[in-house]
Amino acid sequence: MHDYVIAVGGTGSRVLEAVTYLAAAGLLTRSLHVLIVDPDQNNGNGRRTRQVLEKYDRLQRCPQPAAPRGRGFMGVGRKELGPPVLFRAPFNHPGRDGAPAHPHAWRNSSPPTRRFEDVIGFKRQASEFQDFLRLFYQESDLEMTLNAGYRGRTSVGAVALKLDLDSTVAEEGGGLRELVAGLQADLQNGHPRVFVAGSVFGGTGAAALPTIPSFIRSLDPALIGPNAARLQFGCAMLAPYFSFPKGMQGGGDGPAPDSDEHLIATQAALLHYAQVPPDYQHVYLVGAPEQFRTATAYEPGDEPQINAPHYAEFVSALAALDFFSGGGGQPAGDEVHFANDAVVSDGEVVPQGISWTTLPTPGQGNDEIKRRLVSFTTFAYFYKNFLHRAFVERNDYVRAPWYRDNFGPALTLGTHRDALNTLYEFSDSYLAWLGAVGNSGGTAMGTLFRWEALPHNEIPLCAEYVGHLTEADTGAPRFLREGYHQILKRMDALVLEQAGTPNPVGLLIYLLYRAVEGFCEENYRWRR
Amino acid sequence: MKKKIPNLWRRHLPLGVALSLLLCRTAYAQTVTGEEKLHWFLSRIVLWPLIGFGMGALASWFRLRRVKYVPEELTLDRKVRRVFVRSLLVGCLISAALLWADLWAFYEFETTSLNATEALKEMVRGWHTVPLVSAAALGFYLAALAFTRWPFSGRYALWPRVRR
Repeated sequence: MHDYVIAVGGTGSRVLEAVTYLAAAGLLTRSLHVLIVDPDQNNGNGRRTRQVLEKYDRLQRCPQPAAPRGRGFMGVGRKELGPPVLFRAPFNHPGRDGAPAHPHAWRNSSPPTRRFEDVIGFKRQASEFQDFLRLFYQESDLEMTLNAGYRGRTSVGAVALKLDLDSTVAEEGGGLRELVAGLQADLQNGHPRVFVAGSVFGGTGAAALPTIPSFIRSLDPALIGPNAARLQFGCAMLAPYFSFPKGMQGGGDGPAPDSDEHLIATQAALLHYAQVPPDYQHVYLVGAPEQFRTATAYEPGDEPQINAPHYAEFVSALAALDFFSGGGGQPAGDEVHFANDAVVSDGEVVPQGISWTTLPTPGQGNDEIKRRLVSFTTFAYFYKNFLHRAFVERNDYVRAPWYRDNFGPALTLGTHRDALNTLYEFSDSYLAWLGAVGNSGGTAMGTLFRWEALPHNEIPLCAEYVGHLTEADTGAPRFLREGYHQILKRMDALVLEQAGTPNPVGLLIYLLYRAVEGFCEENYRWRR
Repeated sequence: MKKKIPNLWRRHLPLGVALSLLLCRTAYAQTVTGEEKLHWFLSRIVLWPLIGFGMGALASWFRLRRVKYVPEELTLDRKVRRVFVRSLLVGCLISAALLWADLWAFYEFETTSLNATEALKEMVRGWHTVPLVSAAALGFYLAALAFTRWPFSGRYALWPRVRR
């Protein structure tokens, strides 16, 4: 059984990026099938997410020890060490070992330079019908080329996307066919959950969010099978949370999106959903009180359109977590309201800010989310800033006790340079993403992490920070200035009875995470 | 008027008295026989390694096992070996000093007793010093090896093991 994520448009892509990092941290464990649906095939946001997904897939395919046992004191006795935590959930795996993953992005084979008027066959219509259509579409809408998405024109996107999905659902390798085939297989034995994420104020998101559930349910039973009614749909609808510089209206290939119109567009979309509810059983409405500027230049679409990560996307990923864990019930009072919603205390509105206790994490608990994310962040920080350079530039790691005790001639890191580089790039990408998320909250952002630590890569500074990437539960961190020593000390103490995997990078990930997890638990005084 | 003893004299007088006592021959000064030296040696050949082991255990607990990684280091072997060698040298000096004290003040020879200078001469001239100090050094090394073989980041510094 898989869980499904459909990421719509640029915003959906960034939510999927956040979902990928949560999966890397071990917060998602079941198989996931993901698909980016974006008519703007070269969109910068989608491209970045695809790169992250590819790196995740490579690391997930490095098997870690399945049921490792460690040697006891002086080699006497055995102790259970716990299963692997990181990179557990396979994404888009076809179920055959070694086979390439299913496509992460929907491929629209329609010509990119076509115009909307071509899609609806405007010129072939009778003149009276053309006049009728002009009641709904401006000339700029009809002449708009669709190679850079729908440019905030929901009325265009709703029609074009539905037609394009219909025409590509049976295409082999197009992404959509594989997703539908997965749904059909899972529908035979259960009630698969499909989580859709996108904005309600943009072009693609607002067009696709109400379209996707009905599109899937109404597919030919020959494709989806007879049990489509069992599908459960959840949706993260993102209300306006970012802005970008204005572009020139009336120029180029169509209308220019304008973030000043996002609020009005959202209102229109939500009013429409109230009248014609999209077929979602669970809806998570996510937003932010301020529209943080996530781009420095105006880009209507295509490759240059790339926005900085935002905490609203992180919260949407937590919503996916909740949905897949069986939550997503009707909101009960304030429980699913986001942190920036102030709490009323003695008649006074008190802003709570964004902290570990105010993040919306029903189902899994704030503590578990925090521990996994802090441990994963420390893992990425330690590997990126300390270990990777040692592995690729020197070879004194072969004398380290953890290496001597667990690796060997048949299991050596020296021949897996590519995988180590992938681990470095993924860690770097995650830390950059996390730093941008921290930056996006402005004054409302609390000390989830010590944000100032994340961008550094100078060894002495990183050594200062590695033991203090977040605040301890009580008092100061126990190993404030000796994080480096403590993590390596714990790693040296791990002596596995057997390697349990033929992949040295998988073994490295396991050992390092075990050491980091133990370090974080003691350092930040987490109570079990 | 009473003359006060100058400060210089007051400070160094006790030292001078001690030195002269140390250098005096004892009342019944005679040479220790070879047989007595052998007896003494055989009685100390088990004790000195134990003393070395004790010193090694202390050195391991307070020095060797507290060697820490600093950023960019991935192995502590060299650091641990340096600390071990320094500690071992100190241990050898202490065991030699204990040997001297034993000859001078603790062990009772049948025929005579040695003053400090004679004990020192016996140490320097005698064949027993090197084996006893070496035995102490061996005990020191075995203690360091045992205590660093525990889960400790420098556990291959003193006895490297072949990689798995």
